[in-house]
Amino acid sequence: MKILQYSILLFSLCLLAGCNDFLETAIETKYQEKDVFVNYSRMSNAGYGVYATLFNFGFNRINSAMLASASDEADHADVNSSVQHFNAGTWSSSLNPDDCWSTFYTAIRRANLFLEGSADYKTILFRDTTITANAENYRYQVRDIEWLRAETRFLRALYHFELAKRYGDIPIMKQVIDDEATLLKITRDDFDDCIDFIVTECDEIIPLLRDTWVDFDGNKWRGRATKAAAQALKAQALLYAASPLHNPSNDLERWSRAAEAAHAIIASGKFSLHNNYRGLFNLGNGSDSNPEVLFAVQRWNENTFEKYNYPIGYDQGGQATTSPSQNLVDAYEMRSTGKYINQPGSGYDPQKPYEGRDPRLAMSIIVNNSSFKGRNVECWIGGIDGTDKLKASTTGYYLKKYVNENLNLTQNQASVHSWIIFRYAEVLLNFAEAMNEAYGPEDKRGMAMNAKSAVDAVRQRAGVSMPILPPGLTQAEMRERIRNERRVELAFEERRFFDVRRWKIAEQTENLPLMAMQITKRQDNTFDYLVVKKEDRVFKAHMYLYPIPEAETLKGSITQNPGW
Amino acid sequence: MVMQRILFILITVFALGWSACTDKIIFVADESPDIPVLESYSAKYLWIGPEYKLAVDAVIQDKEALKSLQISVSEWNIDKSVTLSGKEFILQDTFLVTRDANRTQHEVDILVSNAAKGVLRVKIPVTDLSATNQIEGYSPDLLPPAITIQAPTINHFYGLADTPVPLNVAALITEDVEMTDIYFKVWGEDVKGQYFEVEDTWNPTTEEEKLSYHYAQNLEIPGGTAGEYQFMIRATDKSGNQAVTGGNLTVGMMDRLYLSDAKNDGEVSGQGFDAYASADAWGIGTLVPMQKIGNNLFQLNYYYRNDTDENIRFIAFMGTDRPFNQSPRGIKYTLDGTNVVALASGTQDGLTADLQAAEFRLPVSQKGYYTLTVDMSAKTVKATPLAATNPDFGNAALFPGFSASNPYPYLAIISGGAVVGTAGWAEIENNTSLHKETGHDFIYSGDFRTAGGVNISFQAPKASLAGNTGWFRLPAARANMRDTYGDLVSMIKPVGASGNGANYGISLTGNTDWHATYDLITYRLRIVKKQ
Repeated sequence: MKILQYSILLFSLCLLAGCNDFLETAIETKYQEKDVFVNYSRMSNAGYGVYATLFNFGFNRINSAMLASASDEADHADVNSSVQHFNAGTWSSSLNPDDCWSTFYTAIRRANLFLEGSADYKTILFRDTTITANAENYRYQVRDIEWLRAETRFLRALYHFELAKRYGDIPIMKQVIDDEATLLKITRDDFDDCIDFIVTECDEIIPLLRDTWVDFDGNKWRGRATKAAAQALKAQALLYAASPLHNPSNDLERWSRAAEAAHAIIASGKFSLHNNYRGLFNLGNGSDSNPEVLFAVQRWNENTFEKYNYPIGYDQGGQATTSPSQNLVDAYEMRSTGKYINQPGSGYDPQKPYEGRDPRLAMSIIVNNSSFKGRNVECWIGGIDGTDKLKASTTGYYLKKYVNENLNLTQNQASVHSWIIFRYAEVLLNFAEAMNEAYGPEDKRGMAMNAKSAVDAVRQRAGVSMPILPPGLTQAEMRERIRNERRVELAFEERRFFDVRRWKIAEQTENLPLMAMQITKRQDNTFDYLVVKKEDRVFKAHMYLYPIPEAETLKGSITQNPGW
Repeated sequence: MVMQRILFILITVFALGWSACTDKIIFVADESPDIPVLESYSAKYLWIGPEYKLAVDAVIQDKEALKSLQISVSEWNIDKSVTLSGKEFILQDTFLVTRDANRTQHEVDILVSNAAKGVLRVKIPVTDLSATNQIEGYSPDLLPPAITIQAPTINHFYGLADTPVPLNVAALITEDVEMTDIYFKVWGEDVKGQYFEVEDTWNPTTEEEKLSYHYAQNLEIPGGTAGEYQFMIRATDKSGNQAVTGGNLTVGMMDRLYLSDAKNDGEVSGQGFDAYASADAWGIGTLVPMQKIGNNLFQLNYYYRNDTDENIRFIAFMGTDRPFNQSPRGIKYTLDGTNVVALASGTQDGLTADLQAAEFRLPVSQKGYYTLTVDMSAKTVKATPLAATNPDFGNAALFPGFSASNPYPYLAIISGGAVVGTAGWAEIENNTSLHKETGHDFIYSGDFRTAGGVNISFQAPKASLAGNTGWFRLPAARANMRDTYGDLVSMIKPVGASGNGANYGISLTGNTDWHATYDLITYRLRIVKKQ
């Protein structure tokens, strides 16, 4: 991905910089389209530019907030952050903090421009390389553009998926359309048709994509899309199509297809769980002994995320943009028993709330009195990181996942951050969910695993070693366990926000208030823990899908989602 | 003038807005709107019998007439509306709620309106009385029995031989009141679909057993065919509380598989090691790692010499088992261990763990390159011919001056002098070399003697290097020459020319004679002590 940081320049600065809306066709450009698809360098840069939209994923999705702060995972300490519109239920078709419509359609247009402009790439490259009479270059460049075209189709499918999971029915854009009259007649395609398009595209490009970019050409291309990335996209798209939001009749065949798609990745044997859950999120994207990553975006040297999320008491830290909620903390089970903390016999001690918990809690969330950067974090009222401080955590917790603990922000130290889009643990959990819904908890149907063993594999990752799930669970019990496992394993990874929607349980989960831990330090240096309500939250039935941006619906042919 | 127009517009808009408000509220000076009154209110969080409840009490009054009441506690999903009438309402309501895992501050939000549209909003703090059950003497047994598994301590079995696998199960089960039964079950199926199940129920009889019991089961699960099984222990107490625990068991599901072409035990114990700086030692010898490409499925590109004394075996490992101790270095397997399979005599592609009935060859009759695929579930090995080409041959950095039609005549061995016949980090005349083998294209082999621990490297002939030195470079190669499992170093790619220096090459310890072969197609390096 490193190469992309440079190569997107041509595209992002020149070709399509002015394209804010896919319905607009004005192009502010140094190069005209005819000037781009003339040689390998410009053409390939145009292709790499399609990757640029991936940098919008993850860390600062909504003006410095992670999407987690718009779900029951976390809170943003700034009450004026636009992410709060999600929590207060005050978002609308003209005020959507995560309005991705134009972003992704701009990216799709870029993809289509590249695919159409490079269609005759062999002739273009031949014309280009005959000048240097370099046959080896020609072969290399032909091969590279072939891969890049497949990757661009993958990205186009991914961007369609990002749109469909937010807006439901969306227009499928397979080609560049410049004619305004035609653009104004575009209508939304059915969600299932969008999924069919994504799946068909993935099936077609999987044979065309590389297995890996690691150890190829000096590793300079690592981060580009691979077969596994397309397989993962296909599996996830099918999972969404099978989920209650889009499968009201619970067609089991849909679950079966989702399970098979995830199983294809498992059966390939090419991926496994990393042996360090904490370190997994601070690694690069595949070339540094990370067998878990299927697709990731490697960013640049930066420390913004640490400035946002270091506890308030650390130099230059502290805006608590992602203050983990008590709701999430309560989801981490007890390690010795594998039980939820409110179950009899779980072993949970409310006065020592962080002892004996699933190790992923301490690896993902900074809890009171735990060690961070050489001292214990003081989340209690009056403590230097306490909730009574301005811009401190509002919940009594700080984010740890993704946060590089080793930066000295006063010296402006920075590090490369990677946002993982697809990883193997999620593939296992996607598989488990689909298998459980299709066949029940312990039926393998000739596959390598059943639902239970896939969840158990995630729980038994080296360094986590949670007890395996008890045998003999009913389908409903297993569903509950899988959902909680996703909540814990994939916390802060932009999954929970969409999971509660596709499961159609957001009216329960997102209407619960966000809870916080109020901590008081006693004179004997012990702590008193009291759970308090941080804020009420609002989610209404029409919010399962985003509103189509008002500007689009006003054009006439794009209809609005119900309730908006 | 402009300001006057703006002022006029503002006044007009204000007037229109005011008149558009049909539902007028007029506040008379010195008189507050009537609002209801809440008296004697309380909210209690109670433990009553097996349930937890919120009890809300209040007396609600109004001078004229009450209209509505709303009671809400969002964290308990309580949201109740009541239509009221009259001047007084006595609220006495209870709500079933969940048990709090943590000490939690709750408030009941009360919203009362009257007919005069006066609204009263009160937040009643909830008093937590849940520590004691409200029913005197109610002391339910809420805790299930506790199960501590003591055995099996190993859940994954090689099980390659066609004999059952012993399984010992032991658990300590304790209960605070009275245990009524213990249920044990092990079940699953092998890869051929053969189902297996054993179950057992035990009812404790003595008072002692009802509080603490050592449960034990010694049984056998099927061996010889790969399979996946589970076991569970479920204990139930007199109150119906249940505890369930268990585990997964696998038979013949391998994590790692290696091809061994050691001619004999001497070639096993005499394998070379990369042992840089006395740290971890990595084997470079007669084991070749196979890549795991699926569930119990392994693959390798391999050059098969088809010699008369071939001794091909497949050696499997599970979990943390490895073929080598890395520090200190050592061998952790034998050629006839229980984790070894070889081609079954008289079969096309079958593998057997009965080494008395094995052939120790590949199922092909010609020398050459093959893609070997071993399915440890089906216990088969398939060999597919592989073209003897290498796409890297065109890479001038990796193969300077090389082409398939004009291959290197030799690979020079260089070292800092500790390899007899070398004299520095560059090839000299008559250097010790690996020579291209006759009859085996792309294979280079030769003998050399070390005079102590050395760094050693191989490089393309001096004439091809155009002034550069080094072919394998240790700093780069060491980081990249981990095998598919991250530790064995049998596949070593050239990494291109490097500058001079002692710190490149492969470290070998020992003052001895070695025989090395290197394959330009698969990059396999094989170093063993000369016998």
